Amino acid sequence: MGRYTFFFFRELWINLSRNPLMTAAAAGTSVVSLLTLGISLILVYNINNLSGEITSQVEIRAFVKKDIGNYQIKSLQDKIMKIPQVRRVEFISPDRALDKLQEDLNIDLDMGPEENPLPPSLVIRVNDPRQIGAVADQIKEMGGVEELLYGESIIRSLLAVSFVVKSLGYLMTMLMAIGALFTIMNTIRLTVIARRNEIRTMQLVGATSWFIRWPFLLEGMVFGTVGALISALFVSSGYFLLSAKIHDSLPFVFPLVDSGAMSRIILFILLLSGIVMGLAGSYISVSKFLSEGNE
Amino acid sequence: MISFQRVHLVYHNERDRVVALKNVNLEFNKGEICFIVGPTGCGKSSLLKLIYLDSMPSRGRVLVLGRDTYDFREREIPYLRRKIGVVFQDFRLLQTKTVYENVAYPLEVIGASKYEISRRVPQVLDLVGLADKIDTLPGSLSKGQEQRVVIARSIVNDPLILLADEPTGNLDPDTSWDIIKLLIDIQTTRGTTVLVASHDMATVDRSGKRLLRIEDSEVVIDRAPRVITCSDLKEGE
Repeated sequence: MGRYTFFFFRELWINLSRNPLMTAAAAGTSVVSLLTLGISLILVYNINNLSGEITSQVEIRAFVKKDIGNYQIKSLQDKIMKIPQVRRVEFISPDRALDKLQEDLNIDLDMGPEENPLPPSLVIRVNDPRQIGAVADQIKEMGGVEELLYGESIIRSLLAVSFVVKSLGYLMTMLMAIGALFTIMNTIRLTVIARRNEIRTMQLVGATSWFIRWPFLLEGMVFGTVGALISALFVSSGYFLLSAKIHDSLPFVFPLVDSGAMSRIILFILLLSGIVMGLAGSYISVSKFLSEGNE
Repeated sequence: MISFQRVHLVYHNERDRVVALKNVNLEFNKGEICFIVGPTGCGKSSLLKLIYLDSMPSRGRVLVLGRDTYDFREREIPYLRRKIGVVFQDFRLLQTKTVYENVAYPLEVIGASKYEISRRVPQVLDLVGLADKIDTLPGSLSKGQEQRVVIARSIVNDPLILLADEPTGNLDPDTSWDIIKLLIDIQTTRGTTVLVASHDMATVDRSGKRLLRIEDSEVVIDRAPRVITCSDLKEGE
């Protein structure tokens, strides 16, 4: 760009302001395309969040033999913690287990400590739910454990469903991104086609390819940026309103991604996509006509 | 300055093979003006295109400013074109730019300063008689005025060669003669080599300048300049 920077920006302004219809059409198209991409991003992020939330709840409950003392339980807890895949080990005493049971069932069992039938247990969380079977096998071999509960088959199904849902989400986002790319590129292509004679004239009066290309690249960037900003505004505000509503009415059903964080992600991804798509659209279209002129 | 040596030019369409020029041998010297006449489609525009590298000869050599056009690398072509002003038959004005911006474009291309541009553009617009149309868009100009803007654009950066392809096409006889006089004036005052392709034999013949006639892709007449008489001038005015 260098010494021509001022000229290129002036050209950009002239092209945008003197072709208002074309400018509006191109910016409008990129808004709509990026809007669909933004919505699919929200879906994917929330599906991932939900799936992460569910799988992070996966745990092994190890019921400790009643006859072992606190010291042995502590030692067992330390040994389990040393297994690399283990994230956390929590000791649940019979009293705590009883309290929790009463709380969950919302009843008062009015039971003395001697009458408590619940055994002490350890609740083990792993880093990766897929490793839960292997971790359980290692705990079984340690001794001191009466029974292990972790619902292996349920976890396996849960992971499989989560994988399919996530993959579908990624696929959908990718298709949306490709759709947006083609739509934006084609719209920009149309704006360039409308000015192909100008490109030829510029070549014939001695302009180099980059001298011709720069204002078009800036234009593509503007279309992408404007499209990204407007669509991010719509998508983020929509998400903010919707998540507030869901949070008020169904707080435990959908653990939604925080709207502030989501807005930042949306803005970043849409801005990046818009700029890249705008630049790519302009570069490819202008280069095609430039090379036609050189043939 | 410009040399054609046994030049043949053949265009290949999807089905046809069109011979545009056959065995052309020509020399144009520095500061010379020459009119190239002939019927539509005889090869006049093709001859000019070979000079500003919009076409390449199928056979033979074209030398521009002492260099074989085949020796120019693709990235060198824009720099050669900056030394050649072209008045296009279809004007080729940038429709979204004002008259001033159109004329300033070749200067922007060479990176001229804002001061230089603001000095030279009004000068050439004044020369072509369009000083009052600076802020007008091409769409609001008459054909004759558009033609003048193109001439202004083609000479604004003092090219060594000026090529004019049918600069009087679509113009009435009075305006045509004005344009021809303007081109002659540019040649005499600036020492520019000027080649003008025209099918308007009557108008260019009045100038008495060197005249080439092309028929069926071949140069059939290469007439040296002659002394022009008062009646020639009167007839033109």
